[in-house]
Amino acid sequence: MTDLTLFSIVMVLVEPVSWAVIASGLAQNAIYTIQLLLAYRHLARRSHFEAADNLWRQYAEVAPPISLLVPAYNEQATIVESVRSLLALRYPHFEVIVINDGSKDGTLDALITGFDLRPTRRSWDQAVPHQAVHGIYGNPAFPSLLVVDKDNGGKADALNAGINISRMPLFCAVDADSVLESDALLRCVEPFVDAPEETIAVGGTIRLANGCTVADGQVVRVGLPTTLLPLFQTMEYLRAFLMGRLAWSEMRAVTLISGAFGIFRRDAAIDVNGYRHDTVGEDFEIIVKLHRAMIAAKRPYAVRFVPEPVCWTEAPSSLAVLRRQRVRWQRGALETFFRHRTMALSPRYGRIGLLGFGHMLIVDVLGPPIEALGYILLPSLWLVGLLDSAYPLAFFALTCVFGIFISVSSLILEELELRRFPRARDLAILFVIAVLENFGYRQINTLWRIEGWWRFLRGTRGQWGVMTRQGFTPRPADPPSNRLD
Amino acid sequence: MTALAVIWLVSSALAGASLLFMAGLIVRRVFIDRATARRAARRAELQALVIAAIDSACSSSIPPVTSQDDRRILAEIGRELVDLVRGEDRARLLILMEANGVVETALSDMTAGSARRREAAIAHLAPFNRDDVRSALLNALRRDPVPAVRMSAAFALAEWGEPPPLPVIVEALGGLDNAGSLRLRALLALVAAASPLELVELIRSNASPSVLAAALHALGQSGTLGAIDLILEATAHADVTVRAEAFMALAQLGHPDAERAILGGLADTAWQVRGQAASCAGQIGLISAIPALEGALSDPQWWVRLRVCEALGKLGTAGIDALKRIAKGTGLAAQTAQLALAEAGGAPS
Repeated sequence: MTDLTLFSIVMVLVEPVSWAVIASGLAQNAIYTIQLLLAYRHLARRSHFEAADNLWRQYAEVAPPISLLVPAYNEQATIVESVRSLLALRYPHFEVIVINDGSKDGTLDALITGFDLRPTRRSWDQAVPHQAVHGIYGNPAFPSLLVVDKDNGGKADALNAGINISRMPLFCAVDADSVLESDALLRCVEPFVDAPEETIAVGGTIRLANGCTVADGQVVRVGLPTTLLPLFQTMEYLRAFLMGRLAWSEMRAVTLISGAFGIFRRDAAIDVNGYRHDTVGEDFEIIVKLHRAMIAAKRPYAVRFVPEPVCWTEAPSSLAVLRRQRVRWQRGALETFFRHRTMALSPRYGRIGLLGFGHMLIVDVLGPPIEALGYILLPSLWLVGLLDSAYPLAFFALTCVFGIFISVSSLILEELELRRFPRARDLAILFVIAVLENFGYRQINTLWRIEGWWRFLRGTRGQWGVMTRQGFTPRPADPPSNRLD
Repeated sequence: MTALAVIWLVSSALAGASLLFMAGLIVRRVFIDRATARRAARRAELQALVIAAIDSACSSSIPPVTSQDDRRILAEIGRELVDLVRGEDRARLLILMEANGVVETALSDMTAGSARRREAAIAHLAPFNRDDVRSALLNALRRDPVPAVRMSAAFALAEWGEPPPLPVIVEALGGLDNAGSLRLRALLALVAAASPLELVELIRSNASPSVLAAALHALGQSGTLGAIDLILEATAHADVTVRAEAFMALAQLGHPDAERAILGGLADTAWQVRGQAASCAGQIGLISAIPALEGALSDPQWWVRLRVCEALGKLGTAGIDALKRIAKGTGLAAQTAQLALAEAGGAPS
């Protein structure tokens, strides 16, 4: 093939590819704008006032019992404190089931010592598959606590064991290293109280605890992280939860409830055979399975999202850990999308097929490669003199400014409806972050998502995500945390 | 205008709007922070005065509260404290709040544009069983545009033991289509406690299964023994939810006439009904159901077996003896009984 022919082929491809890049960018911007409007409409319509004692008055007597399922893998340093904090939650009727998923450290011993546990026997349902359970531990002094020791099988497997052993109509999947608001369950149970027959799953807002002060298992002062990487993620979480998930809830098309905190109807989870083991995105997968099963059975149902912050988690503060997390998320999204690809854009699956999967297609499947192509193509064309430099610059400026506008809009939603950042200065800092994230952070994320694509194409089995943590900021008077994992 | 110019124009407009919104947001926050700090200080001051007034039995120890904002703060404090204090302390607290115009402010807030403020006003008014408050709550129940506010008004009235007539509640809530709502069921239980005949009429009105189930729940919760025949009839209803709810209501009533229905329920085709029938037998203390419960220990559904074990455990020595007898055998029933006995012991194995 001559150089001339190769050049001709490239030229033929350049125009459609360029249009694809522009169309993808416009479609994503349109989606964000719609999400913003829907999120605002939802928040403006909320009538309940937020005082915790009012929540208790309204829901305490009717709130259904919940089993908190806490999968734990190598959490020796913090598990006892985490469980104490969970046992102190403000909810009328709940149990905490910690599932030690074959930890290699002393997680089980720490729990046994911390709560003076003894082996106990309990009849339980063999409803969903999981690895062998070696023992169940309890202590009559802590009647709401049960610890399950099982062979290692991953987070999904541990949750499945928890589902089987739980006896409550609802279960709440919680990460062992997260901090819950004391009224998190009361806030999130509302859809189950209002529409118990329809509601099958509810998610809540996850916020980043980096920079917050944590004492006795509670966030006692909200603050912003002091380093750049967690600050970028704070902005991302704000957009994703306050705008994205709320909008999907408003459209009745929620396709993801974070694995860090989600409440499910136990019987619905059992009907879809619980969590899937062979994926890194088990939280995404179970929601899609639930949608699919409910639509197939033609049963009315709802998967809802509650905008109040209910769960605080620590964000990665190093590039290496963040990269691992983002690659895993991308792989998980692709695994679920392609496993259920027949749902994509299928009218048979209603809003989920058209909106939920349509969004996934644009943002998760096509988005990263097209955005990467844009970053390569436009400067390349400019370099070879095929494109006036004014165009790539203008497009880049528009993309950045639109991103900033969306971030500012999320901040407005947060400020008008929740106002959890304590100082005006925090808003100014987040605005600067909303600008800065467009120059480097956004591009490196695209790169990681491409890596996620690559790993998905190569195919690897699901496992526990390794997360290196700095530990929460303790109250000044407290001794320093020994969190090391 | 060229495409390039349009792109730059849109970018500039978005950038300008972002800057403007952000600046507005930050300035607004500065003012809010100052107002919040002032309010928090005033709240702490008033709270200390209120607590001192309750303790000292002297309502004059709180200086007269005149501004609307102070009255709202006082209402919030009062609402928090009113569930924590009893007897004379509670009476003193309510007098103090009334004397300082809390009720009048809350009544005027009932017409506020903000649904949150109206809902807060209902919470603040709930402890004051007065004619003007009742009238305002009835008005909110009938006319408020927000369903959550109407529901709160209905609860406030029902918690006084004087719920409005059921048709008024049903109309205000836009029908009983959402009869599965646990809050609505709790409201119906309060209605049943005050006027059970209204729920009996509801059951007789060929209502949908979800309404029937909610009415049965309400009658069970209110302990309306006069409805026993209706509830027994419902144990044979075509709908599973209704049958299961009927057994839950029977368990609440504890009426011995339930025996025949329970024995039938243990053989029901739906596992949910079998489970509830077993629970009902345990709750009522129906010794005569022990042979049927023993048989149900081999039920293929784990939930039914669990409920049967719980029921046998509640039936005293006879029930425990039955569990022990079965535990000596082999198979599913024996295994279930062994685990139930180990668990009931509470002691580590």
